[in-house]
Amino acid sequence: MAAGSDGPLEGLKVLDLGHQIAGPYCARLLADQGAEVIKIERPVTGDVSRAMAPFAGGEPHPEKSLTFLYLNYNKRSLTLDLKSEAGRKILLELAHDADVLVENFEPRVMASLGLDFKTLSAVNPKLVVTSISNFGQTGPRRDWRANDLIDYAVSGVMSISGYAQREPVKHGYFQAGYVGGLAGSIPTMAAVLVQGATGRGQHVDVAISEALTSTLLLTVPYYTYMGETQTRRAPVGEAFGNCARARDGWVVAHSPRSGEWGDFCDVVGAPELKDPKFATARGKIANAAELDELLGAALARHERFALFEEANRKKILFGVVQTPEDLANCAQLAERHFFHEIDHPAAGRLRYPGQTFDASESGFAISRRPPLLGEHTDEILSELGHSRQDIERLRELRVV
Amino acid sequence: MSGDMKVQDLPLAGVRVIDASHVFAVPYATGLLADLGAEVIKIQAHTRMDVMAGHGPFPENIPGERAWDRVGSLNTVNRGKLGLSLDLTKPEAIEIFRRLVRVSDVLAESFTPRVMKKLGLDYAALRDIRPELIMLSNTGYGHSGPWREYGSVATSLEATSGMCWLSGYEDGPPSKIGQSYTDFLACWNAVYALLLSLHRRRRTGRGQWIDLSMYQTGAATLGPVIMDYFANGKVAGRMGNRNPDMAPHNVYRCAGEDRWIAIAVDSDEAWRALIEAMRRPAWAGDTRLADARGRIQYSGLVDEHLSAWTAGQHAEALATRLQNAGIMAGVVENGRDLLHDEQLRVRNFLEAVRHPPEAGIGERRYIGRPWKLSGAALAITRPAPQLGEHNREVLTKLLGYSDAEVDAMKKSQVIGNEIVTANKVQPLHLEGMRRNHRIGQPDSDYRKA
Repeated sequence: MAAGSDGPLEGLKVLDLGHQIAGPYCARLLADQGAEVIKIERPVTGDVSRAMAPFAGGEPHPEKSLTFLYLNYNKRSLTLDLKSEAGRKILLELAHDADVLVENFEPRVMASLGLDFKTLSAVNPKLVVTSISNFGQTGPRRDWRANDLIDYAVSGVMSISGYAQREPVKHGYFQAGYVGGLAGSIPTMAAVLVQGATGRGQHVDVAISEALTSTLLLTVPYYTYMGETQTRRAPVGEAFGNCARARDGWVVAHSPRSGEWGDFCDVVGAPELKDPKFATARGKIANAAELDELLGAALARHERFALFEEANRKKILFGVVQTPEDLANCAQLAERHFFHEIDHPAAGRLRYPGQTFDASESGFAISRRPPLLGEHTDEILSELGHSRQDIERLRELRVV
Repeated sequence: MSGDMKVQDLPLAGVRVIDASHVFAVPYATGLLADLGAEVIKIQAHTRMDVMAGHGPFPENIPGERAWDRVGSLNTVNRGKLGLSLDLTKPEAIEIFRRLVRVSDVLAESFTPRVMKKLGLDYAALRDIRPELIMLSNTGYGHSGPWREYGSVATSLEATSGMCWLSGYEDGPPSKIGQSYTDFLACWNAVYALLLSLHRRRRTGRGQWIDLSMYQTGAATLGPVIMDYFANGKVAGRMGNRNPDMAPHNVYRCAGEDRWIAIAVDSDEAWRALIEAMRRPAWAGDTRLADARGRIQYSGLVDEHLSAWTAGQHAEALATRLQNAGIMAGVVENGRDLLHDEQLRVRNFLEAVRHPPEAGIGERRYIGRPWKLSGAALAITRPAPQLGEHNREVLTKLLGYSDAEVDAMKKSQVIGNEIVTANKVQPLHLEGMRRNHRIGQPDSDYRKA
């Protein structure tokens, strides 16, 4: 893995007007690959994620939000009041020289700031503007307000998540934002390729709820192919393919190929399961209650990591339910150099998760710690040609 | 399908991709590349069926004689591709593969680390014959580390990557949510990594190898949770539908079979708007609920009040009414709802694709893409290929084999159009699934949706 100076996106200039998770994550993915990202934050309070728990040390502090720190390394921070005319003018100066702008406001906001795609494009025709929103920039739900709960509900994912006799439940943690940011990186890069080939920019419209719906690779064709509507499951047949109790935690016992069923029974130490009636997917559904009883009892006799490793050595597909503590201490992640230590003047020395892939010649690097609020305001404004007096005046007017 | 779309205007026009992968993550990634205009050649196997094939769904739940061509999930991810079936245990097939690599830009594969090496198709070998090649290898845990040879599917990775621990009811066990979630994280990461590498190649002329770890794609979405352990020694738990800063923040039952509305109140202003929408019930004077802190403390009570109010109401109408009042709300849509959803229809998110008559599938709607480009009309460019459908076309037109050579390959079963050794695939056990609440009541009008 090479250093950040050899990142594939070296020289790509990105403006991050994002807040919370989706926009900042998208911009950080670009930054991780060498793009020069300027994060634009509103004066005084900054990105709302600075107020999001958890915090390093536990107490709320705008420079110690772990969500902010995680989503904003590799970026510089500029404070700018986009509602002021002077602030808007500076944004347009930045847009003039940028390649990509990422934002995740509600769709009406950029236009209300006088920063719609047409305006930005007039300033810089090669600019790629990526707008990430809950439902997209068009359609009757365009202006609906939403967060991850609403996105998960409308996406369809909740309708199959949870138990039949209880309420639908969403994914844990704030997944919708990460999904939106990750999905946003794709059309952004496609547009960057077009920009390189033709010099033309374009507007990229990413819908978080549609990205979540994209994960319903069975639910959608169950309906279009058979007219069947998937629902939440009864808690039966759980021991196989869902979280089941081991002696010291939880595992997911799973092996999709029926040919390995005998091996599976040996690994979990349950010869009574070798009955062919349990071997097929069909049979497991038909005999779900009995399977739960026999398999559940067998799994509960084992330690989770011993079972996980033994099953995988025997080529049985098997998962272990890892907690955040397990992940933090995972030898696999350590050996893959997934965690990176960064010093930060307020939050101190912390370990940060990093790359999802390694590349043989270029790729992920952390070249900058997360910025303090407005840390690079003077530096960036000087680069734009503003004089020291000019910058002082803008500061007095609270534009920056 | 938009038949008049010009493929040459698309972002990946002129890019050739080999898809040598199975199940969902990489096939979906290369399907999305096809939507962006790449020419994607899917390497299929006529010696065995994809592990997902037996899971269907099949049109009208009829697997038929060629079940492998009739799987709804696989036909979603393999859209837009040409199908070339190769028996990679035969040296002739390896030679075809290598010839194909020589004229391709991208190879994406998802074998365990030792397989490609054993076949002589690992990056070190292929770089020699195609130096500009961009190759992506997707595995459960990556090509290094103690778990590198562990096989995996999303079902196991959702657990291992930490997602299951955090998902489920706040008062219940860890749980799987949705379906094969990690596959999609890996899929999107794969597309991003490939587009980055194409961008870099246009600048530097150099290819590279990408070692993608599905496990890491999952753990990366839990960054602050893992950091909370590092920084504070805290192990986060399950929150169900709740939010640490908002209440109400949950789903509430409405009129009808399994109809629910999600409601999230993010400010006191939104709370007062909700009280107004509820026509100021008697309990509205309860001062404990006036601010977020109190509502969070008494969230059980808040949920009781809201459930009593939503029960018997029409979920769709109520969601619209609350949104008009500035309150975050939405219906918990199910599979049927998605196919009748006006927002998705306006955005053509679930695209109609017509299969050739011999496939016996007709026209079906498929999941499109969660993004739009103002400069290019993206669409599914063709239905998923039938097994070996483009064998002759790819071998003669692209790789320069003669028709006689192709005939000989067919005779020696280097290529093929059907899976001879396959057991007859059974229809899905729908009544058993209905009994176990995997599916609800069937809808006879589904072909019209």
